[in-house]
Amino acid sequence: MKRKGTTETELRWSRGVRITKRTLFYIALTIVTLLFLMPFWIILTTSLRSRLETFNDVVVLFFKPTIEHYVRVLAEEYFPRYFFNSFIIASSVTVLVSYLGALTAFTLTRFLFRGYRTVAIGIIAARMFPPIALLPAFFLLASRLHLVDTRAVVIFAHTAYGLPFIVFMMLGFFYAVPRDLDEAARIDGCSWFGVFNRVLLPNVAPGLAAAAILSFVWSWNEFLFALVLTRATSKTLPVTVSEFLTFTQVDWQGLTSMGTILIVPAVIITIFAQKHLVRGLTAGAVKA
Amino acid sequence: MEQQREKGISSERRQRRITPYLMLAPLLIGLFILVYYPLFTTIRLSFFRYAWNKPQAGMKFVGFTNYKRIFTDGKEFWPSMENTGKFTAISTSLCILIGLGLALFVDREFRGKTVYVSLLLLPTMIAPVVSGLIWKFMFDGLFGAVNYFIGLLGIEPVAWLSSKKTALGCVLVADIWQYSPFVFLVMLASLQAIPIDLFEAAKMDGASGWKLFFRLKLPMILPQLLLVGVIRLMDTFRIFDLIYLMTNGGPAGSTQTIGFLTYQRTFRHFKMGEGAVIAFFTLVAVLVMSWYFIKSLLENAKGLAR
Repeated sequence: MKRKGTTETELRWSRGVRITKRTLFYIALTIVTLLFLMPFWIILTTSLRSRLETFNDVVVLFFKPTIEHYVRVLAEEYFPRYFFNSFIIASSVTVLVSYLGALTAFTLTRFLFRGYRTVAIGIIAARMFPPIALLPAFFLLASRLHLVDTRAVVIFAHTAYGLPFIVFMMLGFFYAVPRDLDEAARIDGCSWFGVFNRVLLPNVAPGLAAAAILSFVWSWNEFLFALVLTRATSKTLPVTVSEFLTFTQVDWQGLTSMGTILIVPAVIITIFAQKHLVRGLTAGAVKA
Repeated sequence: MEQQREKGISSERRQRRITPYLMLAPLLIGLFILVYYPLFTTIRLSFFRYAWNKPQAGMKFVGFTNYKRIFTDGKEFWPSMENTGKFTAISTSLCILIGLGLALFVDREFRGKTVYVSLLLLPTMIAPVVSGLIWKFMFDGLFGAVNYFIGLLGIEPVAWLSSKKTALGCVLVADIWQYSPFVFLVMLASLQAIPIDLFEAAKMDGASGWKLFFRLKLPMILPQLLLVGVIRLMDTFRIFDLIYLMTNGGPAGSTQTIGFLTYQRTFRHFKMGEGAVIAFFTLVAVLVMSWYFIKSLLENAKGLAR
């Protein structure tokens, strides 16, 4: 009887320790997460306040939210146009990069050909080159072809500089599809392009999703090429925001509204497609 | 019948030979025009004097003059090298420390894990422009939250971004905030890829805590740790966006980096030749740093096409 009592106490004791540990873990993790998220909270609340008076206002928790700054920003004539530019560019880049990235990864996992090593090095090296180092020459090329300030040249630039990473990310996904599958389709009379389009693509759907997400976010966020290659007609949203940010008199509330609009796609994608994204982001790095 | 089959086999062979080139053509042509041709132009430009705003003046061959001018430039080039070196070293090591620490902390089973991981990833996914905006606002002298918080501790407000002493540190904070979650993600994925029976064996040997980390986890994730370190190293070395947005190289050149200098020489001072020298130098430096990355990817690529 007595013995049983002690074990029960011991059990309760160890359970208590476990729960305390767990609670402390959650508290610590929540504090760290909130620290990382605090800047988001600050720009969101700033954009929702009617007026900014002193810096004390920035961290106040309770206030009456207003969307007047969003309305003001969205009503500006330039905003819809540049939003549209960003959207068109990012969507085109997504389609191009996902398809070409998959096609290239397919080729690199299915064929051994003369020059394989050279091609592989050529693609890896293209990921290494810092865009800022190639930009002067890239700009010169674009201006000679009279392509400066067109959406097309930004699409080309984003596609070329985004592709190498997506190719390496996709390699792992294609490698995981058994070769018997494409051989069988070949015997049924499919061309190699048919094999790729009809057999392989559906089989690497998760990889394709990751590629699409990452290339959209990459192009949507990209700043350097857009800054140098665009002017009034084909400007993108990040360039627009940067222009307002480098003013001496900064309109913080208009800017934080624009910034919030700019990060909405990335935030939605991160939260709802996290699984694909994590697989995609880590596939290249973890397997290498 | 026999003939037909032979014909089929030889056409199959021909297809196997030609198809890879057809499939690679779009990427190779694209990379050639948009990456390798500009690379070639950069090297060529570095030997010329050329102002892109005055094309009628033409290109003038000047030999190594641009190189001499850049490498003896103690006012802008070498100070910006020093800034870049400092920035890269501090940002890379802190990103790895924070990212790895966070990954080790989160690497366990608990309810709500996906939510926490998603939230922690957010800074990495947003546009650098917004991250620049956020931190410029946080460090703002008048409305900045940083001054508010130090005010609570009784410290006088500081003009963070316009003081030579603090400006580079502010950009560092923004950079580390944005990219340590990336390190965290890669490290978490590689920790979770360690086979579970290795843990069982280690626990049987009585290893726990620090011992478990140094004996088992660290050796297992070392390749990925090095890899992510190299990626951070080369991407930080070329930092441009945050500098452009937060400080514009100032005050008094204290946040001037090599990437920003390339941009400035080329697009603000219109000195294409000098810009090209710095660009070429950056490129060589980054390639030297990323040698490990290239080597490991090549080894990986060799095994892929069986």
